[in-house]
Amino acid sequence: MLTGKWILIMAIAILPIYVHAQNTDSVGVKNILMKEIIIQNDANLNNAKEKRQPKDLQISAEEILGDINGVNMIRRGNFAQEPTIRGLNAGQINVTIDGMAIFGACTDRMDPVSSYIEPNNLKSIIVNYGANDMAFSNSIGGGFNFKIKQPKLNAAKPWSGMAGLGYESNGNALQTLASMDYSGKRLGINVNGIFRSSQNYRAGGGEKVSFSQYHKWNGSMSAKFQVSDHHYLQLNYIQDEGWDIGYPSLTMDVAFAKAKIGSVSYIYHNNNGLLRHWETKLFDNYIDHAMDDTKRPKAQVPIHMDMPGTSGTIGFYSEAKWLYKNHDIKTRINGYQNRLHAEMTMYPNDAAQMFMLTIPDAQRNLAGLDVSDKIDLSKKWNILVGSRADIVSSSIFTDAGRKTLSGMHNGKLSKNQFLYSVYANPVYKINAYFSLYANVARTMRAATLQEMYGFYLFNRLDGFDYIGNPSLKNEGSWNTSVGSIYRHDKIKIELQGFAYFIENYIAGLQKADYSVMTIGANGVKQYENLRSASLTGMEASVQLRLLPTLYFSSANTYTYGEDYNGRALPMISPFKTVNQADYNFKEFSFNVTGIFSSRQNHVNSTLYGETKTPAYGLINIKAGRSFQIKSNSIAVNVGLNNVLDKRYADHLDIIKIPRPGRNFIAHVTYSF
Amino acid sequence: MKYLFIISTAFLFLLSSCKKENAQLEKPAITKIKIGEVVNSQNLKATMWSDDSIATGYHKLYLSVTDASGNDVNNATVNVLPLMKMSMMTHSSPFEKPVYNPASKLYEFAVVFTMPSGSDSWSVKATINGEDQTFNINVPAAKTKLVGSYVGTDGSKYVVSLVPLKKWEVGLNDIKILVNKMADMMTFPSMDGLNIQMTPEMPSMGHGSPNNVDPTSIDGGYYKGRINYTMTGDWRIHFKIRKGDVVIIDDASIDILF
Repeated sequence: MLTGKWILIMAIAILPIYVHAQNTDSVGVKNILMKEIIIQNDANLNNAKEKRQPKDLQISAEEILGDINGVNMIRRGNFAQEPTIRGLNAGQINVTIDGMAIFGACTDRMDPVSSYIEPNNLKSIIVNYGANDMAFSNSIGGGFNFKIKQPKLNAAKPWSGMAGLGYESNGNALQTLASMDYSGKRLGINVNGIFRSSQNYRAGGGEKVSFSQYHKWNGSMSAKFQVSDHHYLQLNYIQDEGWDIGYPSLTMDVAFAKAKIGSVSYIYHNNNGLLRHWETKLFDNYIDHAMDDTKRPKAQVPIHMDMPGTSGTIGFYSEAKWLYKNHDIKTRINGYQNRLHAEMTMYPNDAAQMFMLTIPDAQRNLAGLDVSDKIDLSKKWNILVGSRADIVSSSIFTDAGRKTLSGMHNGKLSKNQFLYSVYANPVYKINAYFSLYANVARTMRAATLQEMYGFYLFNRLDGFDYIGNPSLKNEGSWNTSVGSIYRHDKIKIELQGFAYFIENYIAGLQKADYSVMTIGANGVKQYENLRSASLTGMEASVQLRLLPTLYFSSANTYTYGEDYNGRALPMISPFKTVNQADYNFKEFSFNVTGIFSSRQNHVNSTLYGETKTPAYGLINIKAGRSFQIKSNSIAVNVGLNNVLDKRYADHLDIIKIPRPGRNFIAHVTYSF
Repeated sequence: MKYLFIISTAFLFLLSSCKKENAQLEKPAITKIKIGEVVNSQNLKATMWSDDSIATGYHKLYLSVTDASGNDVNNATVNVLPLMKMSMMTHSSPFEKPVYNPASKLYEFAVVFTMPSGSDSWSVKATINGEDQTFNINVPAAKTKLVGSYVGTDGSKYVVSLVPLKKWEVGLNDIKILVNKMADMMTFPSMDGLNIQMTPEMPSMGHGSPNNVDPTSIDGGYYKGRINYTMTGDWRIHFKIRKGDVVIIDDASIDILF
């Protein structure tokens, strides 16, 4: 079954596509397992045409992530959606901010790392589909690295900036943002800030979704100083504070979610010589998160509780890029320490208050070494080979934490693990337009601290309390993929097929004799290693320039996952196609997007607690115009999402709370 | 002047060394709560001590016996009997006989106060070298139910009490209970060899906890097991007690708050 599907996917992916070519536009395959999504270009654009385009600088990070091929978002509310890559999520992928390890503090996964950054802070988002040379930790499913925007030195304009105002009719959402850049000869500074808030939104058809409000601000400052030729010092600080955030899919909301993320880097950069780039960074971040049930109606709250959690991480990395003949070598060492604490205090009406540690002071230390080499073997062949090794040690750092787990686990709580990955990505250029590529990787991950030490963590997806398991084995994977890219001046076609064979797949298995902690829960599960699981799928995209002003693009993804017993894996999106038509004329732009997600019937409700999801289709439209006033510009973008006011929920939406209905969006951005 | 200084310094030194000698003579203080003190006709002073304030439940108690010159007496014959004097009758309760502990120089024993004093009165009769002394003790109700009396399926009356060990903590704790049978109003023999099944519960939430170890008989009517508290708060511990396969007490319960 699996092999047959796999062969079919592979065959489709490497199907030669031939379009008669006249122009010479070479196929630029940099790293086939990586995509970089540029969010903000340099403050001073050279390309006049690009500048004139009314690019919308106010799109949310979640919307940007959700638009990436193979990326789907888990939704628990109208805020802090959690990204998945090819059906892999949480501990299976590795999320960093500019290489910095950072971990959410919430035991209910209300605060994925991506909720603490704003596009305003970012230069780009790097998506890794599996093991490659971009990782800061071993993982089986790749991950995201949010690259922070760096100040420019010596720009044509010393002062530049932008300010914007955005409004969404659905939920009366409002955002204001501003950014200011100073670019001196040796010193560059960027300061930016955003405030966003929304009331409850309405689902398609008009039903109000209670507890879907949010409020947050985010401020960031970065400075770059040129110490001497080729030597730079860089500082960065992001502070992100959310409050009064509703999670309609969960039993609790959030009183506050605060992150402080800081780093200092020393950079050597030289366009000549053997050592091209060397960056060393020290970082520290701290997340303070508190859940809240005081706004919920009494009937929904059998016992009022406080559930605060914190996550603190300190670490470093040092990364060097070398160029030697036909070798493009990257070396990296990095390390971090992460400490998690989460607790729960319950206040029953007629009894004493109850207190427990839900993440009983768990700590992880990681030290890793990464070496990769991209070799241009010939004009037609290049290959990226590399390896990463991590030493991971996990433990409980307080007596209270150890005591809490004394009633749960026999034997040692602390654990040291060795992780490695090796990978090879060969690329073969058939001709100037057409390339084939493949990837083979052996990779693994350690269980997360939640999976090891969690203490009755409630999972709303299947309604079970989860208990950690300190003796979990590493989850390992053989990742394989093949693909092809065809690019010509009017057309670009990318096909990619993949198959992951996962061993020791980590999933929760029911402990029938354990009584539930959460009132109304279905039972208690403990994380265990299942023998194996597999994921197969494909991504196909086409970009077509029909006229100089008219583009058409189509992105299609499909993933199929099952465990060794043929049970469907959870959180796997069904076939999805996103088709867009773009018309850009002078200072005007128009976009129509059609999204179709097929039904997902391949679910397992007994083990993974999932239910089937019906298909849905959506239409979004957008229009933009820019106005030039000397060297300043004003961009006005308007859009109408879910034009047909369709009531729908995606397969990854926890308990299928409907997504927003028709929503009029207006963004005005002034740049100078 | 200089002379005066030396003399005064020497005097001060003398004074301080005197003090020291006096201090050495004093015996180490007992860091316990004093319940009562009596001097009998043999000029023996008996003092009763407790680790914490008395309330219903199992309490470890201590007697220090000193002679007229204040020396510890380690060879006295000491017996105790708890007594509950009610308007209509007097009854006793389970207790453990005194044993002299040379390390603490105290006669150590234990009493289960099965009910609060209320309008009646609790006392412990201490018999030292054949002479009875009465220590009256006020027993308020404990914050939670730490002892219970049950009529068994065999018709006998049983007393199940919690033996306090260390302070409770979240996680795995040792737990010790004492089971006595009421033979008559004055005799409560300890019961060994029963099968006890223990089930903790949080009444305010309706859940229990996993990985508890049922208490097993360790002689003297005591049973020792392990209890797993997953959180602080109110816990009710249910004991199902069997003699062989026959259930004699379906649900003896102890209430805990920490």
